[in-house]
Amino acid sequence: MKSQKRSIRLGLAILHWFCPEKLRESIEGDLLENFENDVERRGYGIARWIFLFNVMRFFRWGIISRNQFQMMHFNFSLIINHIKITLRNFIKHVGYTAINLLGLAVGIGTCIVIFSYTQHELNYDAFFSDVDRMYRVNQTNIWAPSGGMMSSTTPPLARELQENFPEIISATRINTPGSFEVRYKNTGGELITYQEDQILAADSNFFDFFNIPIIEGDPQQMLNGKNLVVLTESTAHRYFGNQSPIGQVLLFGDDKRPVMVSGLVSDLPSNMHFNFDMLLSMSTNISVKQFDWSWVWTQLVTYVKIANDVNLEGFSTKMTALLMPKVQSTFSRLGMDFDDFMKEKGTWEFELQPVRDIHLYAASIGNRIGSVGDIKVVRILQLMAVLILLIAVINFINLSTARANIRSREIGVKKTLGATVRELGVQFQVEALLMTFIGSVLSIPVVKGLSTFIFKQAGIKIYFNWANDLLTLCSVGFLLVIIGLMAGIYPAVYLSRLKPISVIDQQKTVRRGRFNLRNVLVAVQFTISLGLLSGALMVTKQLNYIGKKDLGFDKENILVLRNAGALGDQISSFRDNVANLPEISGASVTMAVPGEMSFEDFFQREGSSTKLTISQVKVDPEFASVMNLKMSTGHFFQKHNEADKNHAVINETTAKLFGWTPQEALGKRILYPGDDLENPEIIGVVSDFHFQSLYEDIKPLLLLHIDSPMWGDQRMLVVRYHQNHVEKAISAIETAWSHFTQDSPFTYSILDEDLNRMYTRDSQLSVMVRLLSLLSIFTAILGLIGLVSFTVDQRRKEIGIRKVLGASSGSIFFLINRQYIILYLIGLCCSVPLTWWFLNKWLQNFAYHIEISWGTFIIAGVLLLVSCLLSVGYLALQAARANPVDAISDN
Amino acid sequence: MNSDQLGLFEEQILTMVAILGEDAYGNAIVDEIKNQLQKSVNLSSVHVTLYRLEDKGLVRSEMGGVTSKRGGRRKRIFTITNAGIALLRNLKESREQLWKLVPQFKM
Repeated sequence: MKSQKRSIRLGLAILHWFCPEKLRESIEGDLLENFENDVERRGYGIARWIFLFNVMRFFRWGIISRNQFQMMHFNFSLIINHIKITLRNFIKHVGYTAINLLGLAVGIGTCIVIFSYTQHELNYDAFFSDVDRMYRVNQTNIWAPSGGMMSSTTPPLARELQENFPEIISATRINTPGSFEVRYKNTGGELITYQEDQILAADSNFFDFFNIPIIEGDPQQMLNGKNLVVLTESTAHRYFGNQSPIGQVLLFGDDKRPVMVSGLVSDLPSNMHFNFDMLLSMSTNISVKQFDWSWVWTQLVTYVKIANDVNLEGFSTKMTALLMPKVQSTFSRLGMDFDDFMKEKGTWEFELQPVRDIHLYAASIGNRIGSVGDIKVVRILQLMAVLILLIAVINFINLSTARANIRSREIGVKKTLGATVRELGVQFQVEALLMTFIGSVLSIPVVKGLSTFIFKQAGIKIYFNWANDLLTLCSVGFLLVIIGLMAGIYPAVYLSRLKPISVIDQQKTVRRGRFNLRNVLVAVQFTISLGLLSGALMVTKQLNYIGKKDLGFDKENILVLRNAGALGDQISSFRDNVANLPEISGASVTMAVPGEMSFEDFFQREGSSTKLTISQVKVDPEFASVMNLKMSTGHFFQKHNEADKNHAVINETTAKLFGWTPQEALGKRILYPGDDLENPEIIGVVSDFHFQSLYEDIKPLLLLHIDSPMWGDQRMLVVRYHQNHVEKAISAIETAWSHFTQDSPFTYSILDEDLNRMYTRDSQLSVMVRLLSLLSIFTAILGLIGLVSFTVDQRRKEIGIRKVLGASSGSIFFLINRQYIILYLIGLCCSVPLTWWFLNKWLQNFAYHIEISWGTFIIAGVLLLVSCLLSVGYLALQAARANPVDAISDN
Repeated sequence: MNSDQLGLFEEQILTMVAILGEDAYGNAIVDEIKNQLQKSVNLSSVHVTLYRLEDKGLVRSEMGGVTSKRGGRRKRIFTITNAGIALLRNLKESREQLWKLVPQFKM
């Protein structure tokens, strides 16, 4: 009976906490009766769980609300007294208070920062007033060899949808006209030039569709007509200062096309799935009109707004069925076989995707006009923030229960003077809430520090605004109460139930050794910190792997001049000029640099009908040597060889997909259905290199001569400089540049950095994971120090006596740490499988990734163990070394 | 609250209290519902309902004698009040009256 009673103590304690005094006895009786029956029928082990579960089922409004009568007892002056005593206690035990407050401040601060970051991510496009009715039209990715969906669609789609479906109220399109150099001659005759990369073009109903605040201009007319542009406020300021931009003329591109500013809008909010500095009218880009018949010219993004009460089930099928004949007619116009083309890609489909989902739920579909995030990352971060907070709360719980006997005298005296269990419970709850409150005030510098130093450095913007963000503020307040209650409930139940006799009478109240909640919580802390630490190590390792992976070309020491196209025909003489500079080892004119080579088109194998979507890139003969490409067989284009204009170099993947060995491919021809290109002959096969990001497998690639008649007139210059001469190289190139042109600014980028930028999101994730894991370990160790220092204090006499009886310092050291080492090992066992599972999921995002290794877990394990022992070891050592006389004589 | 309004579950519990007489307490009612209605109900909902019935004045309760079982806890014995009996009778009669109005089907 006695032992049974003990094992269900927790359940009874919980019942005591919430159940009204009046009803308690009979409810307890009923529950115990059931428990006794269950013990007989199913055995003791199961019965105690059923008991706990049944207790929990009484935690319901019909029971709790009957406490009202008791609530009347709440006495304001008593609460003031609680607060007073709490503060005195805080001051009396400064070390304990400091550990708790520091832990809570770090936990709460991290939570706030992560919360505002994820809130920003989760609220993309919420800014648009009827965003719930806005959809983007996606279609099958006809350019990828294996299909999938993409966000790019064709010019006629919007019109067809609007004409044929009454459900669709309006449709609009956005096009990507590319980057331009934009010039403006101000009234003083001074020429202002900027390279503009953030340019979009949109239909005239754009501002009806997306309610972006307009400062000047008529929303109906702003984009209606050719050669009109709408600027954002900060862009306009760059060119025109404070004068009104409306009616001014900007000169676009190398042909200096005059475009009139017709509107001014405020700067766009940071969480929109697209962003522009300049918005051209759609008809400014002539190609859109030219390709109005084409269902394969996928250069636009199409949006539709649907009527209020439309059920979208089956809409995709309906849409696909109606549009397919039109798509097929495009193919017959191009003289291509539709079925053959779609062979590997499945069916050609159209679907609607809610605009709200674009940012976080379209990682594989992508976003033609902006970056996308990943809901997985958001969830990981939220999880980590909660875990850190959990560690801080555990610290609080453990330290307050461990210190029970310090408070026991107070509790005992209060109880003998007539305080009820409930009143004491309230006192400890107040204490916890007060601690959380002070902790949250202290978290303000933590928030500031995190967001201004660490996150800013990693390029992660934290949009946190204490004043404006009512929702955030409310949630923070709510969070604090929850944390306070969570942290307070167990200590309140535990401490308030101490027996007055035992606490006044003798000192011994802290039980040791048995399985108890404190040990479980410490093990949980170890599990969390180990998981976060090994996760952080693994993420860093993967990113290093990507950074160091052999890409098949040499990405180091390369400068890219992206606007070299501005030089027009002079670009080749500029190249020769640059190549002759002493700091430079080579220069090459190309259409694109590795990482960005996706200009897909269809090509056919000679002597068969096999068609393939291949990325085609035009490069000059220097390209292979500048980029250090390796030839598998054959040779690259040669200087001054006119015939090369109609030759081609393919990569190994292309050869393989066409069913050739590299040797067989030589001398074969590649057939192109359009008229631009006369079927070029293959003169070489280049070894595979990563011309796109490492998220992708290596795809087929076709290199053509820069002077080939094939489409694609974008030009840039890549320059290889001698190592360690980057500054000299840049200034030398700049001087050469100024000899060639005065109207275009000299801009450059470093290829290595451009490539790394593709993984920005992941490197930001890595920064956050590393930071959060450090914070979690910091908090956990803080708690451990508190706990151990307390144990040491408790066992001073025991240690003294042991030493007198001949125990060595070493064995004492071990004695103190043994319990924690065991808990640490338990934590290790729990965290490895969990972490393994999570990491595996993340690594699947990469086409090229490392395997999870035991080594990482071992390193993480040893790191944590060593840092724990170092921080706690000092305390243990001090205790072990202490003179036993001091401990024993002290009374 | 209008005490004429009684939910089905409340009515069942009230009936059980009437059936069990001197022996009506939480667990006994759960068992009786299981035996009579082949329905398993949750102890906590029975308790909540009993307290509600008490609020409505349909049952009253007092603590029973001490036992060695139940961890020494006393039972709270519920007995049906006159108002409770009257309400049950009312419900039964109005139901029968309504039933008479239903056209009788041949089985």
